[in-house]
Amino acid sequence: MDSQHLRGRSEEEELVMRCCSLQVAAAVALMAAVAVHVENAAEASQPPTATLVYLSRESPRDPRVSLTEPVVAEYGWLGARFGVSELNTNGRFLGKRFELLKIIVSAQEDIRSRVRRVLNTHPALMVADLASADLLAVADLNEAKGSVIIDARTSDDALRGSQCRSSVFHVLPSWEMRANALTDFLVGKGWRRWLLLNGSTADDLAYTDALRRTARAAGAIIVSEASLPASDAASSLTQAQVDTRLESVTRTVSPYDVVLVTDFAGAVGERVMFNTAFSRLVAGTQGLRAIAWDPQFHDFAARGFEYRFVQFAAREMSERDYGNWLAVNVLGEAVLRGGVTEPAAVRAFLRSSRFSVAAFKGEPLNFRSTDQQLRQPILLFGSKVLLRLTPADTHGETAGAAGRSPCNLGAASTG
Amino acid sequence: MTRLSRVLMTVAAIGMRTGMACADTLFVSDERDNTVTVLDGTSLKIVKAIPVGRRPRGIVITPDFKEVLVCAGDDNRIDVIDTATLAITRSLNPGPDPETLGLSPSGKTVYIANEDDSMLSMLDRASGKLIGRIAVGIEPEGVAINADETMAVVVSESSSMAHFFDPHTQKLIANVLVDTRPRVVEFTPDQRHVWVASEVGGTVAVINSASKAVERKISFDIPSVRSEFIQPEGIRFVPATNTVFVALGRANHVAVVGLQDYQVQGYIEVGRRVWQIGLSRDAKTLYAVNGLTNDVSVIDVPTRSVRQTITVGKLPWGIAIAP
Repeated sequence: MDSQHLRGRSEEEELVMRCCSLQVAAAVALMAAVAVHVENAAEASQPPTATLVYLSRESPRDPRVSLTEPVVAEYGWLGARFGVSELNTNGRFLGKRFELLKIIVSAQEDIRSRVRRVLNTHPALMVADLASADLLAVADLNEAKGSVIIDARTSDDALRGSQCRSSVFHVLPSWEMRANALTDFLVGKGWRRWLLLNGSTADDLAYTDALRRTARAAGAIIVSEASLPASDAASSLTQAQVDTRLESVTRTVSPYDVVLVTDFAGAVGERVMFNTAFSRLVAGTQGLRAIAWDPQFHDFAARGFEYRFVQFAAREMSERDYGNWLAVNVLGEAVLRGGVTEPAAVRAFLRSSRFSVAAFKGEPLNFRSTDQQLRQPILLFGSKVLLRLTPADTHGETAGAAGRSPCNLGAASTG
Repeated sequence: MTRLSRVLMTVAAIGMRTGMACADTLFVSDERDNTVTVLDGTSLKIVKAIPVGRRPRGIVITPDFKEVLVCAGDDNRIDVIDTATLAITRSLNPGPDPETLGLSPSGKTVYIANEDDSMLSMLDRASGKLIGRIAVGIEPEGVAINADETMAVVVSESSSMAHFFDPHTQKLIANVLVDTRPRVVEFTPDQRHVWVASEVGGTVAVINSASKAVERKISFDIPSVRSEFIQPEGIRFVPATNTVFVALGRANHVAVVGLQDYQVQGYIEVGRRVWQIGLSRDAKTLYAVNGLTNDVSVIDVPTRSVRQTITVGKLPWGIAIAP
């Protein structure tokens, strides 16, 4: 891609890791990161082999559930930056260099005009740390035609189905893949009777919907459904009132084995366990969770990977950080191993049998050709330990069979 | 078992070792137990479990067979075991998180992969002094040094590279991209190639030591095993039979490959997640270390069959063999 052009057009954007810039060098020194290699000024003055465009939007929401949690800034962005710093360590031995162009729009800003200014009809390699609506807005821009957009953040089934786009690749597991992993485990244990409790956000509702579909397909029975009491600042409920409501919604006539809760914000979801009317297990966004990353995961060299991230970022890696790290690495594989940088060639490489990426899951991962979703094992985590690792080929291979509109981007080219 | 009887058993085993020329002694590092299990090669009985530093993985024996060196990654040290007394005599300071190590054929220099800080450290074995450090790729692991000590190779798991370097100038010579997550590297007996086992890529790359070109990639296919579980790890050359044994990790098999033609001749089923493998001094017995079943499969090389399975400590990782 035309890196020079991108740089020329984006003076207001922050160019990080012009490998590695003074800013990063200072950050690295500050955090005493030992795994990060800062390249010298002479190398930094050379044009990069590839420029990756990072897109995100500021969020006013404080994601903390407990006030003892540290205030964390830069979810996602530090994952992407960590990915580029490691790619540059590798690239140094191969004479290749990556640059990360940071575009974070404010809460109310129109993302399309910002991206238009940067791209100006030149296709790019993008890491989209965006929610679904922003992602689609960017993917549908005329200026983004021919770009490769790695969805580093969503699990949205619609983006992998009726709203799929040929330029978009997804690295985190979809709601359906997560629901499949949970369902397989629960049904395997014989816990087929479920009570569904959903939160109010789009993600909460979409995950609940995926659980309904997988339950139906696997023969699980949803005995009852209810919405969780509101947990946002506008809610006037006291904590005691929330607990009483939970007790009430879980006192059903029909017996159930498990409560499936979806509350990503967590303020109410975290209270479900131990506030149920009967002594029942909890799964979903709390209790047993189907996830792509947990800082406690230590198999397949994941321990060393998490350690390096903590050295780099001075905090634990969130799933969103992991998604961004993985998105950067997917593009890195295309550049370093595939030897391609033009978006059209990158897309062909990612869809070919030559592509795979190692992501600390014990096996090489690749994209499903129909919806460009990365196949991957899913972690089932209860508390501190990995309970199960579900194999990559057991969930989501029959997308559409569980009752949603399929995407069909065609078979992979033989590349 | 009383302490006295343990001591007596140890003494008896040492007596047996010195009395019988062909009885090997096996040293197996147990990552979860923080021990090195010592086994008698003839009786295949446990002689002793030596407590070592935390998270022992890489393990080698010196060319004179007098010392076994084991990396204790979580204690940032290398414990040195006297093979006569089976006691730790000293510890070396190799820098942070040593995962595994290599030894120069002369036994003078120890090469250590510092997993967490992307460095290769070189130590003088006698004095324990640091000779040099080389910046390599992310998560360095297996190290190999050629016979005349003019060239060494370290593989970096996360960078998927084999880094060739000159041990004297301590400069990198070449960086060769291989399939994902290379973990083990070995020079062929004739020194003309290095074999690199890539765990996640599922292949063994054969790299020309002179040109540094990847001349061949060996793949494995076991009908009863999912291809993702084929994870090449330990490599042992058996020049007498012109074969190479390759441990296949979670595939729970050891492959037998032709040393010259690179053809896979067969697979031997062993315990779960077979990691490193060791060869007896007479090259007739192969010991496969099975991480998840906590045991060692004893393989008869001529018949390519498992003769016996011996339980060792938890999460066994590597093996070193003394005559």
